Amino acid sequence: MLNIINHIKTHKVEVEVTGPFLNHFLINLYRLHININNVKYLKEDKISFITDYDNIEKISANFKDYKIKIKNHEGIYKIRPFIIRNKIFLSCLVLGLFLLAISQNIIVKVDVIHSDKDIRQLVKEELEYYHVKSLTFKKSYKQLQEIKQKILDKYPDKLEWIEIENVGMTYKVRIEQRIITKIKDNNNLCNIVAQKSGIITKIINKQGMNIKTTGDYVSKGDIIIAGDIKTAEDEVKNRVCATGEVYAEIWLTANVSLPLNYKEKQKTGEKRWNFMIDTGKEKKILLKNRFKNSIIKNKKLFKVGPFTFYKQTEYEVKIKNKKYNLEQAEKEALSQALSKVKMQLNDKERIITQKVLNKDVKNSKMKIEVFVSVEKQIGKQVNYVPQLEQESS
Amino acid sequence: MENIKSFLYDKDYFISIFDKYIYVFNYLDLLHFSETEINLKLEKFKLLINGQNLSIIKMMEKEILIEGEIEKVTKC
Repeated sequence: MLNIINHIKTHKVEVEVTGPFLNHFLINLYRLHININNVKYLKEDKISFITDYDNIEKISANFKDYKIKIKNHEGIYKIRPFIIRNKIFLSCLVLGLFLLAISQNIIVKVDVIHSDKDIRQLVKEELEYYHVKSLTFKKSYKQLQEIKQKILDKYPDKLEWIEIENVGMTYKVRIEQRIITKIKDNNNLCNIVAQKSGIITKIINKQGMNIKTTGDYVSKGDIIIAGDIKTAEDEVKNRVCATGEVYAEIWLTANVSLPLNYKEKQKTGEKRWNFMIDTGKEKKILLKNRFKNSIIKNKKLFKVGPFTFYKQTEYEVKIKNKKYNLEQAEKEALSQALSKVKMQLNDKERIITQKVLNKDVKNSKMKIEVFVSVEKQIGKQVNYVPQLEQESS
Repeated sequence: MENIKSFLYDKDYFISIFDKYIYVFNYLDLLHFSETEINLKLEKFKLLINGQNLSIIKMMEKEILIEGEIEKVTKC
């Protein structure tokens, strides 16, 4: 290496020598310890060779009869005149290349892209700490990867990933924020469980994970909508308070005892007006009731302090003793049984089918047992405590 | 570098003859030089090179490279 550098640095020249007895000239060069190389015999009286520039003076001094002419400079000195001639142009060129190289490797802006101002600020500060900021040199791919990893390791609960993209003279930093869904407190965790046994007809799930589906038979206490949200691999991803409605076909029996003899009230068409005052403790009417049998209807007029005033209408009625025949009695008993069942149902619940199981007439009374199939809401929120996951050893 | 060179060329002299070249290392003097004859002095003998169109291509302090139609090399 050193030899090569020395060779480049050595100022060599191609010399053209014109004169007689060139063989003697060469012999004498040897005697003067002048090394020559690449000797060319141009004419009978003209040769050229390459030698050190320092030898020229020695040759000129010793061979005054010969015409010695430097034909060319070798190595770096060959371009020296060109450099001197074009020094301004070359200086500008070098400066331009230098500036170009710098501009290609300098960052003028770091653009952090995220909707959250705090996250933007956080990442910007971290990047500045690692000297990723404006008017600094670009980092290598490996350095950027290391910086990204360090920031992610520092904020594992805030940052999901970072991407630093080099666009021209800017870095575009894209961030994905880590959103951790907090598992709810144990107190707020609940399942929807079956209050009664039956076949599920409809599930309205507002929150939670369905364990049963329509058509499934459930027993009392079975979980229908779970608060634990699990993956296919049975891993709990979230815990919520399950909410929703579960309708199922359930079966009831209603017993009614109906007297065959009954009293029927018939309005005669007579009616009277009256007033009633409700003091809160007792009710007092203004006029005495003048009908023997009557039906009374009250209509509220106004309230003054603790007193409420009612307009009362008395309808006179006649009472007739009647007796059901068996067909009528069964119909009435069934109607009363269904009414009894309907009282347990809300607007969304309904009777699906009914069947008289048993009927019996005894002591002027008809006893009837009715089997009723109803669609009823059976889901109920029940709090639960999550099971601790067993650590694998 | 010089040490390596001395080690490799650990000889009094050596002469390499090629088709159109002859290379002599460790010669002491160039006694005569013409297109047909070159006479070199070595430490223990003289070397006479005969040929046609002989010319010196390289002439350094210890080595010389000669080009031409080499006909005869004589040790005197």
